[in-house]
Amino acid sequence: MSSSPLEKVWLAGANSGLFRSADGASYERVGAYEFRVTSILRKGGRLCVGVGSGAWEVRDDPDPWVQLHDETLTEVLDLARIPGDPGLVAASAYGVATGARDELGAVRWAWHSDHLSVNERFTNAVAVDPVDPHRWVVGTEAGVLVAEEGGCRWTYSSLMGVPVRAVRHALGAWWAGTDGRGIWTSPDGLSWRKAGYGLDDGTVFALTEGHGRILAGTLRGVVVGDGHGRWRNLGPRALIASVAAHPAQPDLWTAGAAPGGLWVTQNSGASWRQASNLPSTIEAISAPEGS
Amino acid sequence: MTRKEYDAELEARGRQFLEPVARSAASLWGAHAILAMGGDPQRVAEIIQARLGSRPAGPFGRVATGTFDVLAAMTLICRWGDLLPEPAHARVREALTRGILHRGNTENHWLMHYAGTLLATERWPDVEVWGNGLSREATRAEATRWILGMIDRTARLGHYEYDSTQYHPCHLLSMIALTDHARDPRLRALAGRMATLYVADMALEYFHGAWAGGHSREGYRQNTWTLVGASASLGFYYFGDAPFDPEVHRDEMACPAMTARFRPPPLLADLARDRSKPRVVKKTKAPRAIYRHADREARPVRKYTYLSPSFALGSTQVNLPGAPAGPIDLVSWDLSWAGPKHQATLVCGHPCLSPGRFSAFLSGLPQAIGRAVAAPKPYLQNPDRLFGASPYERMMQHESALLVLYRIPPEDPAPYVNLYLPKAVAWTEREGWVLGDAGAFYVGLRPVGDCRWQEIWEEGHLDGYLIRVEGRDVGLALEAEEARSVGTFDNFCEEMVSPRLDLSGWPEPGRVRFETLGGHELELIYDGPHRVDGTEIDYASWPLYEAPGVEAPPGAGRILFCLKGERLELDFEVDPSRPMLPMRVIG
Repeated sequence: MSSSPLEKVWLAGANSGLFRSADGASYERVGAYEFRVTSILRKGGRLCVGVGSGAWEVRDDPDPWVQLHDETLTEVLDLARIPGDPGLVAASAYGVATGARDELGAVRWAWHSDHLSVNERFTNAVAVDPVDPHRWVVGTEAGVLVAEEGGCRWTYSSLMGVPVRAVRHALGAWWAGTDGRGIWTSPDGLSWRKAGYGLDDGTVFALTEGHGRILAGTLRGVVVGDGHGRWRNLGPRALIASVAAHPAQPDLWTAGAAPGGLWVTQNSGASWRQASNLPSTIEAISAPEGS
Repeated sequence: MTRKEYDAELEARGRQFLEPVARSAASLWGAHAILAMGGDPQRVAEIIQARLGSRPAGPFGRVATGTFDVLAAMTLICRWGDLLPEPAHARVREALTRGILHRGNTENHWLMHYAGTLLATERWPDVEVWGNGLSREATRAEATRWILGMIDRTARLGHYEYDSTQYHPCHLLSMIALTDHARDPRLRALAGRMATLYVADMALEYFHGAWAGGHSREGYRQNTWTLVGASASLGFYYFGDAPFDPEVHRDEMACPAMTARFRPPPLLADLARDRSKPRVVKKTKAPRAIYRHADREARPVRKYTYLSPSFALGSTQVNLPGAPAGPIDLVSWDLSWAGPKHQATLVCGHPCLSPGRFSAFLSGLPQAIGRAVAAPKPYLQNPDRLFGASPYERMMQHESALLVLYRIPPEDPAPYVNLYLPKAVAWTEREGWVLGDAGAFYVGLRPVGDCRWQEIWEEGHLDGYLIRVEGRDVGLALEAEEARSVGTFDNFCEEMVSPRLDLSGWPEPGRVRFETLGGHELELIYDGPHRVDGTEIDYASWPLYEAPGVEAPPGAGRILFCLKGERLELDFEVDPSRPMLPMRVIG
């Protein structure tokens, strides 16, 4: 398989590295880095990954990846883009941090959630408010918190007391995937209500939007819905840790199982097939950019 | 002991160890022995080529290296670089400067990673861009910050990955390498003091070749062994006081310490071997990093170890924040004495099986992590497990007496505690007490709960009796005594079975009292105070170290050792007003 530029391909983050695919079905490794890739962030030609031991900016082979972490950032579970250089907010098992370059060009991380309690610090997911890049909706082991003023001010949302493993802004609203209490939605990230029905005690690990629908990775396969009606369960009944929808092909979705490999559907979930040449645990997927 | 006498001892024991290792060495650590014994440098070059890193297939494959190899290879270059042929230098240089260096996730991993990286940045200043895409200066600055921060934190809070029979050598070797080879004089001096403190940690609880007391990590299925891993080899080298055993004293990881310029002060060897009188050693260690499933932070660890001439009893206030957190290879207490493997340790534990004990300090998904961690290591979820912390365990100790209690909740699938007894002791049962005559000392233990005797055996790992103490509110009272203090074993048995244990407050309201042979009353209230003779033990007031001749006020970063007119002060130059390096690793 010939390699395509990184912005034009599907990317899958596995427990032993980053993989790319031109068609979403057949994959090859990106670089020789056998890290546990937990999150993939790309925009405007830049590609960053959060990994078990930190964060990296990915360069295409044969160039080496560039280290983005310092001696404080590790166990990164999600990345989101904010203004600046490197322009990242990192969600990690140790909390939320933002990076800035030092005089040697290395990224040094400032921590914004050290004052919170143990479960409030552990951050599974972070999403930046599309109208205020200094406002972040943060999914933690204790629930959803909102960080404002670049992490200087924290507010508890109404969705507390449950681990929140996915947060997303889509279809003009906020969405949260919980551990054991299904999918929730909010107009502002602070006030939450149950979204849809049929997933009341479900556990949700990933959320994305595809052509007006919300796709979620759950403990028992993919669910799809509009957030008002019943969630429809699709695909292999595996723990789905990541989901993605192709930006131009409405019926093309992928789901990463942990374990179970990566699954692809080209007919909105009516049938699925396993992608080849991938490890068995897939924790992150990124669809090709705006094609 | 004079410096000269001690150096002569080290030379002799080092040679005794290194000579056989040099003949068969196949690891990067063992390669030090080959060169120290005058072996062929080409053989070492071949070990480096074969062992250092792996290169994935494909056109862009780059050497990837783990933390152990980073440190081992770099110490070879620093210590023996003049002898090694150019291809060996080139291989290490490529791996360290251009390769992918995995940082790992434990404190020993990070220390070896940063120590090896720092030495590499100093060794090859002509490399402008490192394998991580950063400049050499940035890479060196990061390593320096973490190493100095870790030293400062350890001096103020106590060692994090404390007293690990398996991983303490990784810490010690890293500090020794920095002491011997780092270029920054301040870092070199501080690393030397920290290496000395690590040796002191071993010396304070050194017991006839073994490391007594609680351990943050004692490896997997090794806590019934008398002598464990490279720490046993290092103990033999630094302190002696145990016969050389080629079956035990052969861990190649110990070799760089024996070929280093760094040598600890003789006072520490004297301290390790001073068993003329029983003594109590108290230590404070850094809190466990539990980062989810918890309502509060873990509190500092407090260790208490009683060293008597013929036995040692050690226990730990692990101070975890509550279920399900339970570090997986922590060993909180044991009774140990000199004897063969499996035959001289007594220990019990609750085999907590919740996968939450993994996800409390690993970032994998709680729903998947149980199988993910235990699939390659099934013994971690073995119901007969004897190691690993339990969130339901509470204990107290005074001298040679111990009380341990468990309240195992209904949702836990293991409503029992595993108690390990060596077969080499002839056991007696009387009125619920299990009494053992170990020759020089006697031990009595009284399980709280119904007992079932079983056998436990796993080739190379376990061989003894497994006593299941069944029930959800269970525990153990234990006391050991030197034989010469109590006369015959029959006398000891008579004394122990007289009404000493008051269980009228157990399980409700949760209080047990135990009158010791020495006439003290221990009172343990589950999740409440621990009292000796009516006075509550104030663990929060414990210093960093407390033992005869040892002073270490909390937070001061200064530790003073005095023995027989000799004095050793370790001052880590801490500034209490400065923020500490955050702890971002497992230990």
